[in-house]
Formats: sequence, C-alpha cells, structure tokens
Amino acid sequence: MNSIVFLVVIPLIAAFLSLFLEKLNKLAMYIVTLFNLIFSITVLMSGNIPFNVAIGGWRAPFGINFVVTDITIYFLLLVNIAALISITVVNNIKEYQFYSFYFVLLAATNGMVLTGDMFNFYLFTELSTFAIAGLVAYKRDRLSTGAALKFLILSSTASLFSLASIGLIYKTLGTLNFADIALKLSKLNQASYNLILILFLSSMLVELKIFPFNLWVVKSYEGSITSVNMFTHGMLGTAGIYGAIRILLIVFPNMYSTNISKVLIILSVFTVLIGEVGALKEKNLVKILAFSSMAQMGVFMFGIALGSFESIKGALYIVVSNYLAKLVMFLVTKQYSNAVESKNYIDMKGLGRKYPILAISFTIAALSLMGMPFFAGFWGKFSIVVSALALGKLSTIGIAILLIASVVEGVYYLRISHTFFAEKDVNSVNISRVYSLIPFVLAAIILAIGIYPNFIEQILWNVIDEIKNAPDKYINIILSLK
Amino acid sequence: MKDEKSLFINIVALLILSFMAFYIYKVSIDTGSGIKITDSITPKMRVADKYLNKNVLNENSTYKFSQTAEDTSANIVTSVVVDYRLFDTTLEVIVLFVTILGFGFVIPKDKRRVKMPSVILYRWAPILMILMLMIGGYMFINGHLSPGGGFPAGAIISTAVLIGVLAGRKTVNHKTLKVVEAVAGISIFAIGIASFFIKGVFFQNFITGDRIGDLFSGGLIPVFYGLIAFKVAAELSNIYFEFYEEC
Amino acid sequence: MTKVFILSSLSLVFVGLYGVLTRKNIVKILIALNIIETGINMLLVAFGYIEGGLTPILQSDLSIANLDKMVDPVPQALVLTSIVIGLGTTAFALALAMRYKNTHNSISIRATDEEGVNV
Repeated sequence: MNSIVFLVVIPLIAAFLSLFLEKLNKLAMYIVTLFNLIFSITVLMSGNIPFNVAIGGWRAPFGINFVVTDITIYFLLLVNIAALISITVVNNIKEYQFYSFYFVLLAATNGMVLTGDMFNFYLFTELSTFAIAGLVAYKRDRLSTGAALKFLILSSTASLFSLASIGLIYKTLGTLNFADIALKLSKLNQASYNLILILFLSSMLVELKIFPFNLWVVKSYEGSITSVNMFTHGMLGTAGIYGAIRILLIVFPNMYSTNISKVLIILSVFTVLIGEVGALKEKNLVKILAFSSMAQMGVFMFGIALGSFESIKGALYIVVSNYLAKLVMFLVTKQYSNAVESKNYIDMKGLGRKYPILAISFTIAALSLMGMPFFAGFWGKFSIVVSALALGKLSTIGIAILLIASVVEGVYYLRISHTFFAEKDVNSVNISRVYSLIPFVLAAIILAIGIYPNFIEQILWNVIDEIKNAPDKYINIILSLK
Repeated sequence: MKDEKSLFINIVALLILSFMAFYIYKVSIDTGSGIKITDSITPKMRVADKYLNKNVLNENSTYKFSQTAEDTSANIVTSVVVDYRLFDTTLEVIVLFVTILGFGFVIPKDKRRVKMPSVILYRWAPILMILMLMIGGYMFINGHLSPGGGFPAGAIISTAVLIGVLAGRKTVNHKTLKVVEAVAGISIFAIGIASFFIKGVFFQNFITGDRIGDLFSGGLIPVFYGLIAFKVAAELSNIYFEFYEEC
Repeated sequence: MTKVFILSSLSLVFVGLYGVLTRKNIVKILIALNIIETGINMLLVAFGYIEGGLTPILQSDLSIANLDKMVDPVPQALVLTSIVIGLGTTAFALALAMRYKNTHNSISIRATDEEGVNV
C-alpha cells in the first residue's frame, strides 16, 4: 500500500496548480477532496490494515514512515469528511491564495494523521499552522488580521518548545521515530522524561485549545468566514486530537504514573470553566460556538488525562459527538446569519418556525453536546463520569465541576434554541431548502449513535484495543519491517 | 504601547522564567536512574551511525571513497537532508511556499515612490549579478560535495535579483517568478511520484551506482537541490518585488 | 566546550522568552521570537557536537576511517529545516504586522483592547 502517500502528494501538487487555475479552482477543490475521501475509504475496505510504508525505501527508524492502523484510518476518514462538508459552504471566493491554503491544510492534516516520525509530525503541524493563519487572515480586515497575527505568534512560540523537545529526544534516545521512541522511553530518567513531555505538550495544547494556550480560539473564530471555522474545527482540530491520542497514549504511555496527568486534569477543568462561562454572556453565535468547542476539548482532555480505558472511550465519544455537532451548528449558523445579516442570535428570532429542519438539527446537536440521554454525547459523558468517580479525589472534584458546567452549557444552548422557535414575522427572509440536507443528515447520525451505540462502540473498542496492545499493534509492525 | 515598561508584567515574566530555569536546572542535576538529558550518548547509539556508515539497507556493508554505496553523497548532512529524510525537505519547501503566499496575500499594496539609483550601481549591477548567479549555481551543483545546498543557493541567486531591483534594471517579472516557483515545486513532487512508478516507493533516489566524490554523484540529489534553489530564489525574489511594486 | 554552547543557547532562549512575554510592540515580539529560534537552533547543533569532532563531509579514505569522530549530522539537518521555518514565520508575521498597522493604526499587540474598539 505504498500509494497512501498520494493522500499528501496530490493536494500539495494541487496547491501549486491553484496558482494558475483561476475559475477552475473550486472544481479542483472538490476533485482533490473527493479523491482523498474515496482513497481513504478504499484503504479502509481493502483489509490490509495495519501496514507501514517506508518513504524513500529507508526502513522505519532511519527513514520517514507512514503508518496506517485502526486509529489512523478512522481519523483520516473524519478529517476528509470534514473537508468535504466544509467546502460545500465555500462560495464567491476569487483569491487563488485561499485555495492554495486549503490544499496545503488538507495535505498537512492528512499527513499529521499518517506520519510515524516525530520531526515530520512537527513539520506537518507547522504547515497546518501557516495554512490556518493564512485562511483566518482571509478577510484582511481589523479583526481577522489581529486574530491571525496572534495565532501565528502563539503557535510559533509553542512550536519552538516542541522543537527543543525533539532535540532532547534525539540527544537522549538517538531516534525520531514514534515507535522507536516508545520502545526506548523506558530507558529514560523520570525527570528528563517529564521535561521532554512538557515541552512537547506545549505545542499540542495550542491545537487542542486547552487553557493557557487557548486565547487565540475566540478571536480567530470570530474573525474568519464560516468555511474556515469548519476547517479549524473539523480538520485541524481532529488532527490535533489524533496527535494527542497517538503521542500521549502510545508514544508516552508512562504519563499516568507522573504528576503530568494531574496537571492536565486541572488544566482541562479550567478550560471547561472558561469556555462555559465565556459562552454564557455572549450574544454572538460564532463566539458562543468557539467557547463551546473550547469546553468540549476540555472534556476530551479530562477523559484522556484520567487514563482508564473506560474514560478514554468516553473521550472518543466526546470527539465524535463534538465533531458532528459543531459541523451541524456551523452550517446552521452560516445559513441563519446570512439570512438576517447578523451573527447575533437574538436577530435570528423566529427563523426556526419558518425553517424548522435547520433549527431542529441545531437543537439535536446542542442536546448531544450537553450529554442528554439518547444523544451521542451522553455515552461519552456517562463513561467519563463512571470512571472519574472510581479514580480518587481530584477526578471526583473535576467531574463535579464538569457536570455543573454542562448545566451552564444547557442553559445557553437551550436559550438559543428557544429564540429560534420564538414567534416573529420573518417573511422577508429566504433560505434555500437544499441547505437543510447536510445538517439534517448529520443530526440524524447523532441521534442514531445516541439510540443505537453498538456500531460506533465496536469501532471505539477496536481503537482502544490498539492503545492497550500498543507494543503488538503499533510498535512491532513498524520496527519489524526490514 | 502604554505599559511596555510596566513593573508588574516584567516581574511576572521574570518569575515565570526563573521558575522554568529552576525546573530545567533541577532536571539536569537529577540523580535518578536511566539516561539523563545531560548525558551525551555518542552517534554510535543514534540513528546517525547508520547514516555515517551508509549501511541502512544492509547492516554489514562498508564503503570506500570514490566507490559506490547506498547513498553516494560525500556530504553526509546533504545525504540526510535530501536522501534519508527527503520527505522532510519537500515539506520544508512547502512551508516556504505557504508563508510567502501568505506574505503576498496580506501585505498592503501601497504605492511607494522609489528613488532612482546612482549611475555606479546601475552600471555595476549586471557584473555583480553574474558573479552572484555563478556562486549560487556553484553552491547547488556542489551541494553533495561541500557545505551549501539548495536553500543557501536559492538565497544567493535571489540576491542577484535584489541587486537588479535596487539598480532599477528590468530582470524578471512577476509572472515568470510564479511559473518558476510552480514548475520547480511540481517537479519535486513529480520526481517523487515517478519513483513510485519506477521503483514502487515514493521519493526514492532511483539513480544509483555513482561513485562517492564525483561531481555527478548522489543520484537525484543535485537535481533536487537545483529545483529547490530555483524555487527558493523565485520565492525570495517575490518578497523583494512585493516591496518594490512600483519599480 | 559543549557546556558553553548549551548554556549560551539556553540564555538566548530565555532572553527571547522574556522579550515575547513583556513586549507589546509586534516587531519587537518578532525579533524576540527570532532570538529564541536562534537559541534553539544552537541548542540542537550543540546536542550533536563532539569535542574535537570532524565535519561530516567525506574528503578521502582518511575521513571514512574516522567516521566515529564526526559530529552528528542529523541535528544539523533538522536545524537546516528549522531555519527555513523561522524565515517563513518571520516573513509572514511581518506582512501581517504591516496589514495590522493599516487596520489598527498602531503596532501594539493590545491595540484592540487599549482603544476599547469592538469592530
């Protein structure tokens, strides 16, 4: 399956071609995204998983390798599906730079998920950072310029720390390959191990929107157009989550015996608090979504930091539910705010009566984020609560705060839904019914997962099985290849 | 910039930094078991050993000067950059592409009045340009034999364009630079894909059998470095043109 | 000697971090970022340094006999990449700063907060 490298190479070539395509750029965007999606589905169906590809023919710890395992392929699908859904809202964009940035972002997020090399991962992260900064600056007005500049400065400072950590890893272990690092980490001194992990985490936390590094989120969501918000959420966010799972759970699995997991628990609780409290007093719907996505990332990180397999399963449920719900919400926000030409949700009063499908989809997504029973998010919060109660004082306090925070989340989301369904004359507004289709399908999937979780549960157990048996299922596959 | 010299921020920053410095110091004097960050393991224990001995594919192979090996670049840093870790380098090219694209995208397009250059600069510019092009060309052709390579070569070639811009001479226009950039970028990936169809592996150096130390050795390394040099030169020249739009 | 390199590069990193944390001027922040980056690059090269080592370039059979005295080539390759990333970041951020000056009429990173303007 050497051809997996096409997933990165084709978008990069398209990025160069987009300098000349002019009006055909939009078509190229669809073709390349569909190619990536269909290719990853073919890989999933082919039954060859897991496999390892050595780029340039140099075997694993010496060259750069792409690894496809169960975790990889599902995240690859999530990234590419998010890309396809996001580009449906791209219209009226003439600047070829937008398309180039998009192609580079597509390649970078696919590469982040596929790569098995530390430095390569760092490079892909940098690429996605630059692409997102360029996309956020697309409007080139006051808000977006400031947001892009702050994001660029924050993430490049953080990435310098991760470069230092890569240097330390190379100095002490003499390798840059994920699997090789995981194999040799036990030789490392505990204090040095902590330093390396802390340095590397700093750059991961920027993408994961965790407190002290999450201050870019609100401004850049507010300053950019809807499709860019969906790229940031669906592509960069998902790839960042993959990186967290791969690096924290497989490459650095000893984390749970140190204090770092406790620090992560505290940071994630802070993130949730900031997100929910910030969203509560906000009227701008896009800003509310930004704060809420911060909070959801906090819940995810909480589940990962707890470290039991049950809580990791919960965190993965949160990932799926947040992924689907935010896509729905952004699509609905885009249509409604275009219709009333305002992003304030109070101006959208009464739209839910005229266009009920959009408003109902939004409500389903909101209920799922809150963790109501019979919606996808419920199973995630349920697993996290169950495992947190069994894990001692700190996690119990944390989960209590988290549950109070979900009530706050419920308050502001239901307030928005209520405003949508309030009575008001909205005859002047016109939205094409076609746009209801995708939110409706996604909301139906959220409901389906909530009512019948067995299918998704099967996939999640596959993923957790790989984390449990990392030496067999990840490390040996890579290092045995000659 | 009201409170740039505010005492509070400075004290907080100093506290954070001293905490970090103290933590790093504490880690470095830690006496626990295992490899510490202050220990320095020799290249023998690192992956670099295989790069130096050029025996990644066959563990027991050895090589001699002016004979063939698995990678025939005499400069081992080059052989790491453009052969063993070639994929990183191609991404690095994309990083430069994206940032320069963003640069051209967000920079405000004001009209500037450019001062006319002096006659001396105007007359001497072509001679300087030829010298710089020669040095740049030498650098990327010899990238596998001596220090240098595609990136510095591209930077040097772009200074030739810069002198042309400063001297007010017409050298290349925007459109040409864009074409050079895209063609060089696409060719790098096209070679990677070509190696997939020839050898079945992406980005493999499929020209083998050269002798170490020859001018024409290293297989595809000079080709890649040449493409990278032109691409970097085009991108950096683009920056100069963005600043001197009205020239 | 390696210790001197590591200590001086660490001090560069700290000087740069101090700049990033305290300055408000965007150009000064970018200069500080470049200082950190130089420090980190120096740190990486120092990690691969060997006392009295040779450059990793083969010149004759003699240098092949002394392979284990050569300094580590991998950190140098990584630094080559990171220099280019630093150049890209600086160029992009400076262009953004010029646009920022146009839209905010200030190059303070807190311009929006200081004027109390919400656009």
